Amino acid sequence: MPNEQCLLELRAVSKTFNGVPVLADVDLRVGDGEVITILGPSGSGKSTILRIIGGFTAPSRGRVILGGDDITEVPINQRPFNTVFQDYALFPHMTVAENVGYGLRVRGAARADMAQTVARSLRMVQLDGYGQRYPAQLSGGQRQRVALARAIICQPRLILLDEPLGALDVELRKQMQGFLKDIQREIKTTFLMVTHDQEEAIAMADRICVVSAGKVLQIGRPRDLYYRPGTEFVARFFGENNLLKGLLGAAGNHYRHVEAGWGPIRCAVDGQPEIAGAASGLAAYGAVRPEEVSLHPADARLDAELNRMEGRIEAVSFSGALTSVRVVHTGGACVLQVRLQSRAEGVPIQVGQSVVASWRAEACRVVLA
Amino acid sequence: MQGGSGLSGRREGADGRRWRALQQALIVATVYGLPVIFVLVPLLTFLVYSFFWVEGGAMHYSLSLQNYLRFFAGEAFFRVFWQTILLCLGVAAMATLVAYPVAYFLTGIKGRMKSTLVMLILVPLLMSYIIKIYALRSILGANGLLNQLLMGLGLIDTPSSFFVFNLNAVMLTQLALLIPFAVLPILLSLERIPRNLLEASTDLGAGGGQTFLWVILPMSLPGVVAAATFVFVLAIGDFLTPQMVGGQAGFTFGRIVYSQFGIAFNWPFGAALSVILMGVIVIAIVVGARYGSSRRGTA
Ligand SMILES: Nc1ncnc2c1ncn2[C@@H]1O[C@H](COP(=O)(O)OP(=O)(O)OP(=O)(O)O)[C@@H](O)[C@H]1O
Ligand SMILES: [Mg+2]
Repeated sequence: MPNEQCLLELRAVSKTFNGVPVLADVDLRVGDGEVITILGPSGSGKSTILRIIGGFTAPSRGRVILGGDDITEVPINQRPFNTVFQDYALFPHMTVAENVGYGLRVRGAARADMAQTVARSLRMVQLDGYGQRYPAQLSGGQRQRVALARAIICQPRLILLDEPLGALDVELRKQMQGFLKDIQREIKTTFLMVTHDQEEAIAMADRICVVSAGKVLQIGRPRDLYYRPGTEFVARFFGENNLLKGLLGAAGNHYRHVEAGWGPIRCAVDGQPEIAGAASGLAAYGAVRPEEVSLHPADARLDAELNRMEGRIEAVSFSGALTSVRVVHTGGACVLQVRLQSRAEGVPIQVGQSVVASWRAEACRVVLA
Repeated sequence: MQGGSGLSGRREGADGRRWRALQQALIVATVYGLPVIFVLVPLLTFLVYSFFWVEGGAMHYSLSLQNYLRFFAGEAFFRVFWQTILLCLGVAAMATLVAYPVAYFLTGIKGRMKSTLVMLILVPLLMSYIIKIYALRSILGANGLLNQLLMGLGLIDTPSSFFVFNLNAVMLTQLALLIPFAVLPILLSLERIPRNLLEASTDLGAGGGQTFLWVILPMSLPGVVAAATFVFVLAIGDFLTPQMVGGQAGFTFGRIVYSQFGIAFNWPFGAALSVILMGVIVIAIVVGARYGSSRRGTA
């Protein structure tokens, strides 16, 4: 949340259900106007975080702060937030227009104003002309948009979305992600969105908050989480990653080495003071993304600054735009996944070939085991 | 050997298939046949009977409309008929009004306590009708609990006969007997409302009253209509309660029908009145089904 003003803050929020801890000391700062996705495996406590913010569930400990005011005890209907529920929770006995206008009706808005605002909201979610239908007469994507229109019509400070696209098929999901993003840019309202789909999190979020087993593991921009994972869980969570095991070498300001059995791995540590200062000798991984590794003939002369590993190609598999290659260290000590751009004539590599794999220290990070 | 067993196996198979087909036919015949024999045939018999007529104590087995003409022309019958419909509508309305808060209260309770309370409502349904009526009669009677209570509170000086042997008594007794029938459909419809709709309503800023009025009440309306239909149909078909607590003043249509069979021995006229009653019940059910499910969709 580097530049924006802080809108909402969770301070050491914990939750236990019947003695079973579900959230442990969750801290979260949500900036005004930003899109945060809460990402984590099933049962990790994502919905619980959202429900605590919405007021549906009271935290066992900790505070919820809105713009400096403690709102932990404020009832649901007095919080300036609106929720888009996973299964939309549209009122089946009301038309689309009545659903969308519900928040205004509750506030006693005049009928004429209401009709106008509802029409505007429906236009915004591209559903003009659908006002007189009932939810049962809509497709999944349309219902989703009604739920969104219903939430934004009250001009909340924060919109909470619990897996808003979870019920949609892949194609529609992609489309709706773009749609949600566009709407958010238009109304500039803060979005806090739960998902367990990493691609969705990356596509939607300004910042991602990774949750696992009731703890926040890391909060940061998608790029940072992808290239500078703070924990092994995060390092493994977003796509494929090479985690090369070793022991942390001597401290350094810009680089540190992870001493693997087959050689040192040079890793950048800028922007990671806790890694730069970590005790040497700790078990650690050098983490490098498959697409950051390049392959060279065994006798190639390489820049001494580069990380390198000599090995043999064990498998090559074509998967469209990219081709995955598995390189095994000559001594068998280490396996490296490499991703190359596919070429029409095929990548110039064959199984059994000896190669040197190399990657830049800047693309390689230390992850403590 | 192998061929032989195979052959006999096939023959058994054919027999088995025939046997199974027979079984199937028997089941179908039972499933559709029993209702036809025990429901449809009596109804049709009644319908036919209602066109026969009695004169001078003798049955005439020729078709005539005179039973129906007698009903619609004779003011006395029609008046009782109309009064009974109003009475039963009243009972249905009041039973539903009482049942709604009870059901609403029950949805708010969880676990063991709830099943216990629901059982308490169900148990009277299993008790003998006559015993229940007797019990209520003693409560409503001149020296009954109700009068004692009112006198104790100083609201009346002498025991009132307002509650016994008249239509009030019929109404109060039927109300007490039929409320459980109204609670159940309402309870079911309330329980079927997804919790997250209530959360959505509150999330959008609604207070408890608004959520009730705009979400809970309309969504439980099918249950309300079902409850009212239930009670109405049960009340209008009931001749025992009016017979036992109605006295001279509490005359209802059900009693007239009953008397045609039991006292007047005019079965054709009784049958015609039954057919009319049946018509009212069918209309009630059709109207109920219509208004009970007019709400669109489920999502
Ligand atoms: N009302 C409740 N009573 C008891 N336990 C609960 C309750 N709500 C949630 N839990 C438990 O808390 C944990 C976290 O639940 P939560 O719904 O927050 O998970 P989630 O991250 O949203 O998972 P999913 O991706 O499956 O939706 C789960 O183990 C769940 O069983
Ligand atoms: Mg969830």
